[in-house]
Amino acid sequence: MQKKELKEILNAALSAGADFAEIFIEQKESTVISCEDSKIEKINTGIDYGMGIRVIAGESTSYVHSNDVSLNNGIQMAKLAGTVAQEYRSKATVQEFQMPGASQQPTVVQRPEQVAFDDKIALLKVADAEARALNEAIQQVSVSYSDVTQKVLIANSEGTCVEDERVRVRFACNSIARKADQIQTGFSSMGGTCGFELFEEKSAAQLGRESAKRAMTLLEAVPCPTGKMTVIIGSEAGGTMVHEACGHGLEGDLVQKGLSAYAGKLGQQVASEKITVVDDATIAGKYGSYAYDDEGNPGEKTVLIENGVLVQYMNDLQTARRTGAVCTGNGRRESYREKPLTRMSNTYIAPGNDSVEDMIASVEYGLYVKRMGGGQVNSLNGDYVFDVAEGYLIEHGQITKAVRGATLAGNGPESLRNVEMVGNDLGYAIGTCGKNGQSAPVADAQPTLKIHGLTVGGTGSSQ
Amino acid sequence: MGLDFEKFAGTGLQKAKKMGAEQAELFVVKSRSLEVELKDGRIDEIKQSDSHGVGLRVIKGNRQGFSFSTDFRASALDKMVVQAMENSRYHDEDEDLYFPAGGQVYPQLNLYDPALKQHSLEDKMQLAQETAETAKKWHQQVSRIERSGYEEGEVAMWLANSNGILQHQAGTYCGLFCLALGEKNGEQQSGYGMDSSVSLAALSPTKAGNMAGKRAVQLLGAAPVNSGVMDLVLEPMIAAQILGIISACFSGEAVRKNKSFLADKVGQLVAGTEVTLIDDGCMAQHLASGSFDGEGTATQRTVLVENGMLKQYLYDCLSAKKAGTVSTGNGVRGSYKGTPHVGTTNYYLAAGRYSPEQLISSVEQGIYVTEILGAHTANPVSGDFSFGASGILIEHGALSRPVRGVTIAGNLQQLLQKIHGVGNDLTFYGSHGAPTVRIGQIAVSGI
Repeated sequence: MQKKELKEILNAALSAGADFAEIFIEQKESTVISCEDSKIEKINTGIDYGMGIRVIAGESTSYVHSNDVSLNNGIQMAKLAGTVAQEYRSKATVQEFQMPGASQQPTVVQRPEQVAFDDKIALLKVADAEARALNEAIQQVSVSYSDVTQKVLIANSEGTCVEDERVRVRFACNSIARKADQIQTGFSSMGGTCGFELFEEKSAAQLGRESAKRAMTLLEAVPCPTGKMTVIIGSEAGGTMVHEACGHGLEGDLVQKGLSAYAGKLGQQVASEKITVVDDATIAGKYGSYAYDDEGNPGEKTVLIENGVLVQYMNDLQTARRTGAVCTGNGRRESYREKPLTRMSNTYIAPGNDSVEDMIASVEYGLYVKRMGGGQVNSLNGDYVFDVAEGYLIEHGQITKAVRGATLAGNGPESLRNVEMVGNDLGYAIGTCGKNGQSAPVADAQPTLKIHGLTVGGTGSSQ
Repeated sequence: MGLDFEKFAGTGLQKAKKMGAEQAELFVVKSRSLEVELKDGRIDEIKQSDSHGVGLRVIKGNRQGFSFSTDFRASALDKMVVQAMENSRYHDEDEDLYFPAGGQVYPQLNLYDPALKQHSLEDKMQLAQETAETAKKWHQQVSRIERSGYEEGEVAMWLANSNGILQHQAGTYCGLFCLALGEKNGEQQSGYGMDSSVSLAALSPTKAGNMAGKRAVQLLGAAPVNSGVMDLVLEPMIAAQILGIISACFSGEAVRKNKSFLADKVGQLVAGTEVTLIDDGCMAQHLASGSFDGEGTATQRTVLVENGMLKQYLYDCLSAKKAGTVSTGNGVRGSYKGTPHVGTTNYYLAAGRYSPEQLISSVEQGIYVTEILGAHTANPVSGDFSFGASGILIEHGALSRPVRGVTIAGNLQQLLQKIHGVGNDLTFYGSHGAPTVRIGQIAVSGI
């Protein structure tokens, strides 16, 4: 769409007296291939194309979306969205367009559409074969590959006009191992805001073996003991912990609605002095990276908690405007069908000074979490749970047997205060974060952490 | 989009045949939606949308191909056919692939409520406002209503295949929701309430509002309990949520692929004898109903578990053929952008004979569970689960104080067997339904 047409639509959106209008046009080309039963069962390629128009009048927001991306329909949509401003008489006008500079542009080395389809399929078959070859107890393997090339055009009445392209590749493998009446699954995934160079870091074969090994480990594992204990979360576990225990609570929209345990705590000590939490969209190639967010603001590196002190919330345009805070480039949306929400990008706890060996040796009895699964938080009170996908007991300062079926439950602010040691390492994991029904690709990372007093849930005997 | 589907499908199927497809199928979806959220009586957010699209499936040489588009012009249709045929080359062969035949008898269902179009936005906002007021009035500890809202949608679907199926159906849905906050001594809890239906007249602001108000205050002052093994009574919503995780195990596809703990167990007792689980795609006035599924097969009522005994799995065409049986009409399809897969429709635990009070009074020491955290982390393949849980402590058959910060853990396979006591209060939450359920001896981890 031409700039002139974009302005015409924005003018129509403001005509009833709104403060702010925005157009989001998206073209998403995706390829999803799945292999199960050692067969390529599903290939789904397609283009999703559509437009969303957002209008804000005072505290009211209106959003209209459609997959008819024509000027005529755009003007109709804009007028419909603009009716929210009927009793509101702002004199806002459309400003001259400018493209803000981004602190980084993602570099895609090998674009997925330039890779032959047969080569993509070969990756799935290799992962499948490698996983099955590991052990005869591996009875089923599901492998999925997806690439997405998303082109967006974002223009708003305040003069922001941004065109951006995000290329993401994701590869995942789930192995199922069975022995007698026991079935266990092992999951492994990787992804990035990048092209096929993703497979340079770890090959499809490695990922397949890794998932099968995880399933086998669980098959041998004993039920996890329950009760309050000291927990060491390894850096390989990724950052589900930081994501759930504090990330969501630092999102500006939840804070402003009074739905966060961290609301009203700016400047206060909210975590152990050893804890620094950062959200950073500018790290090259990570799954949650972007040059511009979905409101056209440059992605940023934002220190949220520094040495335990809450210094900044994440903000999108609207949450920043409401409080006069700076916008941190955290306005993200799943597609043109959704209005932006305050979302994390790549979130991590910064590395500390403790050696991992010392940390494990310091625990008489506890749980070592090697890998985490999904989690959930009640952001209002900070209570969270997450699934331990791979865990081991620590006895007398040594990692001993594998345990299965464990969950960690705790309270975000309390857990961060109870961090005793912070390792000098850092490990990433990718995830798909869900919020208000919208999903977004994110990466989370953390160093090895030692936390006391976490509730470990499981089916074993209590200690 | 004014669409003469019969003509469009005729052209499309013919083009596919000409390009070498042995079987072809077109699936068109057209929808619109409206959602309005209120805060302090004014519009906080309003969202409106329309969408349309078409998906094409072909079978050639025992290989399936798929493509989709949002463009209905002839040139776009040509491109779709080429893409789907090209796509099929990369699939592995599967000789059991087929599209269903025409001439089926379809259930007659009225799932469309014209009242949605007849009522004004103001009327609908009024319902959302009543919901908020009801929630606020529930208790003096309800400190504020974060938001309340109304949503609705209309979906029209057409399906045609080269074996003679040509079907159309239209449906509506609408719902009310509310998020209330409760406060006591500086502690806050949130409570979500909702109600949904096919028809506007059936929506109840009282039901949604009371649910939000009650949930906002009932856990105030909650504290953990000591770890132990105890009986649980699950609220209908929690029972429906947990049984929802188990629904994946009834998939004939999961069974064949060794992904279900219910494999090879037809005819065996897999649950407590009071458990009867049903999937019913043709229930009147239910959200997941339709006269045909995503492949054009007529929907039906399928008893999965009867008095604890596993009777039947769910199938789409492919998984049915592989199991030597026929599709149960469970080839579900969420959108024109994807192919069908085995899934549930309206899935529920049939009502039992006890009142919720009777179930609670039968527990000496346990928890009445009203919230779980991390339901999506349960593993439907291994059956292992561990949830964060909140609720109300049951002591000597009576509710005593609120509980939070504990986990409940076990295996879903065993959990089904431990259902002893099914309530008479079957309630649907969207497409899943359950009554209050009593479960014996679950590991609870607290302090």
